[in-house]
Amino acid sequence: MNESNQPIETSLEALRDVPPPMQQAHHRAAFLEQARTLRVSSAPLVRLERVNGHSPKEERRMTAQSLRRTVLLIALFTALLVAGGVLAQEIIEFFTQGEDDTTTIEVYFEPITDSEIMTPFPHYLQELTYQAGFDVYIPTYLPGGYSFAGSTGSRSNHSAAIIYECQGWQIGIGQLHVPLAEAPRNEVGASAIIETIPLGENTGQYIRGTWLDHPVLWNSSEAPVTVNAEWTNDTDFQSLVWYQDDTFISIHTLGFSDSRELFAADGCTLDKDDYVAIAYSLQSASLLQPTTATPVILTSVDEVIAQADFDVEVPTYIPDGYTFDSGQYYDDRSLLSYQCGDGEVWISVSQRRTSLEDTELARSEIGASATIEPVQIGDAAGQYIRGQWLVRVSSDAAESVDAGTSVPSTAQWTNNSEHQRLVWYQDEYLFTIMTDKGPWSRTAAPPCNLDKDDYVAIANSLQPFSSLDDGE
Amino acid sequence: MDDERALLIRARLLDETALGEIFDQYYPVLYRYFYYHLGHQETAEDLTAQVFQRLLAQLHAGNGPDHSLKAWLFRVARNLLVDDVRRSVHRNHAALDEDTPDGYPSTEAQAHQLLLRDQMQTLLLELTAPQCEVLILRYLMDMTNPEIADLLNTSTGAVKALQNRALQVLRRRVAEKSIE
Repeated sequence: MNESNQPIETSLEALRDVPPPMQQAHHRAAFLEQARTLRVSSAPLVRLERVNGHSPKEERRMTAQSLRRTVLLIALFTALLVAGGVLAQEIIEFFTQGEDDTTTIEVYFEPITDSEIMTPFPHYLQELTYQAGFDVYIPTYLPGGYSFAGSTGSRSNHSAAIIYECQGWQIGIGQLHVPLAEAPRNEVGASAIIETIPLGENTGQYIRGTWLDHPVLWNSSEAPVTVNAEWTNDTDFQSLVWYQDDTFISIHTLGFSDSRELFAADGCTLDKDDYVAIAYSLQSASLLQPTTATPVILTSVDEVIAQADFDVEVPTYIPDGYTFDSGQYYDDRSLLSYQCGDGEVWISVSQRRTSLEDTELARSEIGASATIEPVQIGDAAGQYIRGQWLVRVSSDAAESVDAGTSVPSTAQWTNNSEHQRLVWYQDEYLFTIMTDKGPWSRTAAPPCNLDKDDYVAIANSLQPFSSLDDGE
Repeated sequence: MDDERALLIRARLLDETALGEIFDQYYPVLYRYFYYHLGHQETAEDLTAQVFQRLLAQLHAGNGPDHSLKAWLFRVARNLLVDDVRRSVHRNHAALDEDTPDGYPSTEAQAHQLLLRDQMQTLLLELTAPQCEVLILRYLMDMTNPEIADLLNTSTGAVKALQNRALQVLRRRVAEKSIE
């Protein structure tokens, strides 16, 4: 033994050869079959809620202030996302490098609506697909410390945005369902390093850096305000963008809503790997919700009825000008949507089976000037409200911009809006009739403009589908 | 992001392609690990399959490896191995050359190598369990000392010391066998 006096380590090499495994193919098939079986069970949804949801306890801790901050950032993020598309000419690169590290940015006034404030309920993300009008991507992985903060979607802009937060530091996942040619093209400083990132079958671009002195600014006048900005790479602000399946996706640092601090707090710092990890984890909402929670857009009332496992109440009165557009059934909720004009305004009628005896109004911050009007819907006491949030800056915004200081922004409630909502709870069902309108407009022209009487009339016309003679 | 991390993220979603990649990459490695310890093909394969069943169960529950997939798999494998050894102290594993399957070296030209292999296997399994383990991991599984230390929940220095002692014992026994 060891006759050649070879080192003992070399003798150990003799053990390397082993008989080939005989059951590997069989074990592989069984392993993947088991995975397939498990994939359709509920565990991935549990993880999804862990990433994207708040517990009821956490929900109660959401203060009006934090909600308002989130509203501001969501509005800013979606506006930047949409505005970028206008700039796009030919899309080869998602980032365009400037000649130097300075630029000017024009900021416009845009309103947002309270209906687009993300109430921190896990199921809400499933509504995002409905709001946005396309199958949005939802992250199933988040770096430690980050939790869901809010989201919004817009059919008129084909956009969706989801915000996550760690100690006030926020990142957003923006999505635009547009042709590649209309995907945003964002200017970055000359010193920015644009990295190409393989993302499965797609290719993304990543940068670390931001424009300095770019305040969270919403111009209160119709004319844009021009902001001078300087680029820096020395920051935790990062952006990873790519295009897949007809959707432009951006994972983007939003930072703190109330300051232009360039770095996240300890424990919240992310790097390129984190952004890429989030990108890899994105799953389309429809794939993540293979059961009744699938937010598939249905094209007829009959389809909604067929999917629902309760007796859906259907409006027998719909105001002139409105026609059935689409419906959904998911998460013990039916949604019937009616459209007026060329996608100018939608109203949605929602019926959700829930033990929660509160109303959505109670879970959504409204302005001090808002008037909640009690209405009677059959035997139930309902609440009606008209109004929406607008985001404004102070009147001395221009001076603040010139001085290079951050301009304070506020969310301001207005009652002068087409946005309305009627909510009531009856027999274990929460009913909501609400305006579903693009975020950038608050008015509607006849015949699409409605008033409280229209909403109440729709509510009082609801009939269980099973009781309708003609099945309509 | 390294490939393994990306693979893990997809695996957490029970992505079939990702799970298939993991299986293909680690099944042969884990099988060898079990075989080196047990010298029994069927048992080695059964235990390997059990590792992947546990992986699936943990991923499904939202748990499982966060960073190093390899380290996690080997920890599970090691636990299974310990359990199996406890259960089958008296199991008389078949001799290595008794049920040599098709495809395994069997020509006369390889006989010497097989003999050496069997003798080394015998000597290896005569070491103490920690000594045997560390040599298998270091010289047959190609693990680094820090990886072994992580798996055995000890320091790199302790692994090196254990490894040196194991090699000394092995050298001495090889010499004794040669004298005999």
